[in-house]
Amino acid sequence: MNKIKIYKIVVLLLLGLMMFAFNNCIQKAPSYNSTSSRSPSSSISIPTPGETEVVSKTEAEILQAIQVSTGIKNFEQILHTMSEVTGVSSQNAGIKSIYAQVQTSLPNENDVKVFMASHQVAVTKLAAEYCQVLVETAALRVIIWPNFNFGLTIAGNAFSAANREYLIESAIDAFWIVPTDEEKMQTVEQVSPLFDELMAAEATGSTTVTRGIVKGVCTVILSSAQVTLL
Amino acid sequence: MKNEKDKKEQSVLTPMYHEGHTLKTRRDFLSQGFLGLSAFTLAPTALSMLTSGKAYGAECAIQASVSGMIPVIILDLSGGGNIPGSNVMVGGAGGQLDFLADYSTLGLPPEMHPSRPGMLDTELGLVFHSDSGMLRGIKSVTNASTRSNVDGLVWNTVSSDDTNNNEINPAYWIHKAGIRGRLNQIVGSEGSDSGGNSRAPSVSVNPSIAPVRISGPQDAVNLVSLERLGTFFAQNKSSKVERILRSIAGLSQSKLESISRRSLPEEIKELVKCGFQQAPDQIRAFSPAALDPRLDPLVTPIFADMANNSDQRRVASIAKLVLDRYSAVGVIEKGGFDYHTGNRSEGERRDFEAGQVIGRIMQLAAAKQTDVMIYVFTDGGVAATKTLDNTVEGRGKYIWTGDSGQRSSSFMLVYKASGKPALVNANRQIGYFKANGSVETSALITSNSVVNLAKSVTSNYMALHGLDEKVSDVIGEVPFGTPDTVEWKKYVRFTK
Repeated sequence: MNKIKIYKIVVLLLLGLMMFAFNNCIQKAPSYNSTSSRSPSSSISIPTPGETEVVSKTEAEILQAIQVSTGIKNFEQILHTMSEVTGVSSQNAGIKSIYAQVQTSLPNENDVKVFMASHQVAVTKLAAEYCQVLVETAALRVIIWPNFNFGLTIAGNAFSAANREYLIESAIDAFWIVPTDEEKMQTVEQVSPLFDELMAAEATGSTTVTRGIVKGVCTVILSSAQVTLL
Repeated sequence: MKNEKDKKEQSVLTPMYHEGHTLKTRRDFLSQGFLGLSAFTLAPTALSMLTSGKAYGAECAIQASVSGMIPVIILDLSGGGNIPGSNVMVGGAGGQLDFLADYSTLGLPPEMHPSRPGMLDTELGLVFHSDSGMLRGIKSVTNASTRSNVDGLVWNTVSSDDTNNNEINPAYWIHKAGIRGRLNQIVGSEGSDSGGNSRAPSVSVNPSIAPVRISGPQDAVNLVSLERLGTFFAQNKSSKVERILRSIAGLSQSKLESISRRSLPEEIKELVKCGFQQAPDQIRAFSPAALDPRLDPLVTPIFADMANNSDQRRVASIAKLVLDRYSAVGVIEKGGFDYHTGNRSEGERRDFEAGQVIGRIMQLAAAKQTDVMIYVFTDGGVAATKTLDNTVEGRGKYIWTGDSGQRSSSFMLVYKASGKPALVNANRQIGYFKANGSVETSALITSNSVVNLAKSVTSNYMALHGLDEKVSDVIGEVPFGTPDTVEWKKYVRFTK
């Protein structure tokens, strides 16, 4: 009887030990102690699974270690993607000129970790040129917005609620990869107010203004992460 | 079915938590893991800003003001040129003036031995050979009052020849020491992780401040210019451009939120959002004209040939960004230093050009009444044989005939508008050369390790600001002891 009890106790202890040894729990990270001797530090302490000792990692090491499967298109991919979705040739003189200006400012690799504001400024600059050529070329713009009358003006209700929705949704369909209905609905909601802001103080009887506003909205949809992320 | 699959996947991905675990939201996660990132500097980096627990918009704000630390420009002479002997004087264990018996493999014939009259120049504090191509280049574009406010150090360190694998570039660590730019942090002439040819120590590389490539004035202007976009409108152009950029950020944020954590972890997601968020701030806060060296009346007289000289355009653009504190650290690669071409003239010409780059940066700093630290390194080195190049450009010196990483050095020059920077003693040499003209690899721990060299350079930069006690927070393990010890002073010679 005693032997059986001892046997049970030993088995239970071993099971307990195994559970402790093989658990993959994440321990609570220690709170930062601003009064510690390392207080003015850029390093941080992260406990790793199964370790009780705190391992110090720097910001650089943390970012380097993080695995990411989403990427950002590089300069060449952005050039060709924008060409493909707008129908504007990347060999167009205006596109070539702007691309030559911004090529070194666009992302030069696919690592999304190094994406910065300066990259986005360059992306937007290139997108604006694509939208300029697209909207100024009747044969191209009719492919994206076949049912929008570019002869309308602000006074002629060019940007009615229905037209706004149409302009946005058509651009999304052309520029983004398989947008969902929910995405389209959210985007219409987000971008529609932009028309009012872009129309502010502009001449109400000018078709140049109409085209300018469409170019602005086109640039927003073409420069977004939906186009530039991999 | 889809929901069940998602739930199953989620259960696999979700770790088990201890009781009382508080990681419930993104903010909790960030604050748990990254709160300690708030650096001792005035301006934290993007990631640390993101993790400070403040509202999103505030976290991504660009720098309204920056610290007063000395701007830094790093000159990466790719190919492995000469620094020791023929340019910066080097000697034995006693320092720069503890002359070797023979400098022939370092390119100097006996009649140019540094012990001979008139062969040394001490105007920059750091001792140069008086006929140094680099020194002649510096002097050709600076005035005496600028040079009188300069001092420097030389490190004698072996490095590998003709490769970008030397982890020698201290740009990230110097940034971590506290210097900040208002617009971006590191700018480089190359699209590499270091901004130049040679690498930065891998442990120092921080993707959130990866170098922005600047190859000329247009790249600088591009940082804040959206010319075409403005032409779409006749009225309120700038506010409409800014509004468009904010709309792009809004749409992009929605997209990023829809990407799973597995594909794009939260920390990186926040960094990317910040890139979108900062773009309109950048456009609003800075004007293209302010960043354009061609429009800066202090730049144009010093870089007078920008229209025809791409080297001047590149250096002027980076120097202006750094000295005006738009950027914290600039890295300039200058190619053509693999000049063991069987003559001396090519090397002298390249050294002179490098000197002019250094000199122009110094002179621009003087014109802008700001300090600057210029750090110069190369990948490997060259060795000479005892054949004279008696052409005018060869200047009667020995010809460079082969690579020699055993004859490599790097040096730092610091210009301070208020006068020469202070040194702890008169010995400006770290490490030393053997009698045969090669680096004594056992002299110091920097002698045979470019990573330790980068640590020593960073430590000297911090010492210039009295930040010796904070060095370990920046470079991690400090292999040369603690401040104010004898060992420390072998590696850290500058002081506040």
